[in-house]
Amino acid sequence: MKFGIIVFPGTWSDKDCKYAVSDNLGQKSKYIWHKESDLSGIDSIIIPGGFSFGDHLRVGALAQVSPIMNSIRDYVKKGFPVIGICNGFQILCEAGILPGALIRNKNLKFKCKWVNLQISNNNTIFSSETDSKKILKIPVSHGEGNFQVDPKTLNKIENSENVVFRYCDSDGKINSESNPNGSINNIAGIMNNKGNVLGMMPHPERACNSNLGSNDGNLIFQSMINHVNK
Amino acid sequence: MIFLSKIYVKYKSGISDPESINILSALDKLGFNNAKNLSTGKFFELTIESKDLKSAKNEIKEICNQLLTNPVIEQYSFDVYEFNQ
Repeated sequence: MKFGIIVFPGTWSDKDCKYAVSDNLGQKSKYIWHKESDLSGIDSIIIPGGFSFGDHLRVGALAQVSPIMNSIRDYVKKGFPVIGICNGFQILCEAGILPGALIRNKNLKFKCKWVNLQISNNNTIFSSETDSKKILKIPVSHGEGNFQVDPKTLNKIENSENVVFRYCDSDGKINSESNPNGSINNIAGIMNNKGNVLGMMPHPERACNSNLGSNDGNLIFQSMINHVNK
Repeated sequence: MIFLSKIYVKYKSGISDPESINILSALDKLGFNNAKNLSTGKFFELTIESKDLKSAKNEIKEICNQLLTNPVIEQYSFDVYEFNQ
């Protein structure tokens, strides 16, 4: 299969994502500059992390008006899988493709550390290769990963099992100590109602090889690959 | 006609703003115990060309809704003045 990796000015995890899916998992991939609009031949999209447009105005706010985003909106409607990682998650929220918004971390600090993730839903395009009892070890690297949403939308997200990952401790317990940024309900990753778009703050591409400290991120990309190859 | 708009953006009530909480806590440490609530936000000055005040206001609202604010977490207000260069 062929991944499209979207690149905005200020994107910084594009090469890590290419390493994760191509060098590491043997899939084809292609960088797609934000001014382009052609997504033909692309089976799945990765919107990587970084500081698109310098995080000016709000994180993800200026990226959501780039030409590629209109193509991504159509692509999402057609049902193709899209994963937004870190700044990619922020962009998807700003674009209205995912609900909610990401604001400053609760303690105002940039957090770059390993976190544990509980798999809240392993029946998705992005988590089918995971065991619901497994705790994923994947790093976060962000200053604005505090996921917030109004109570009504939060209920909808929870009731439709659209929360895919939550921050937890090493035993899988969801508590405030294991929450690196203050996200509501310890939410680390959510998907849209259709189930073909995932946004997550942790970086699976940085946990794709045991030499890096974990290869749990592979489970997420492998789930997407298996879905496309079905 | 040219209009000058002053646009104020802050978090909606119910959104916990960690920056405001920390500033308020710092005020408390300095002894300003009478300070009870504080909001942080953004301020924009925008000049805009429009045929009249009503059209200018409508366009500013659109600008706020589409880009300057995120309606999920933020609210805004603005003042508009006729701008004499």
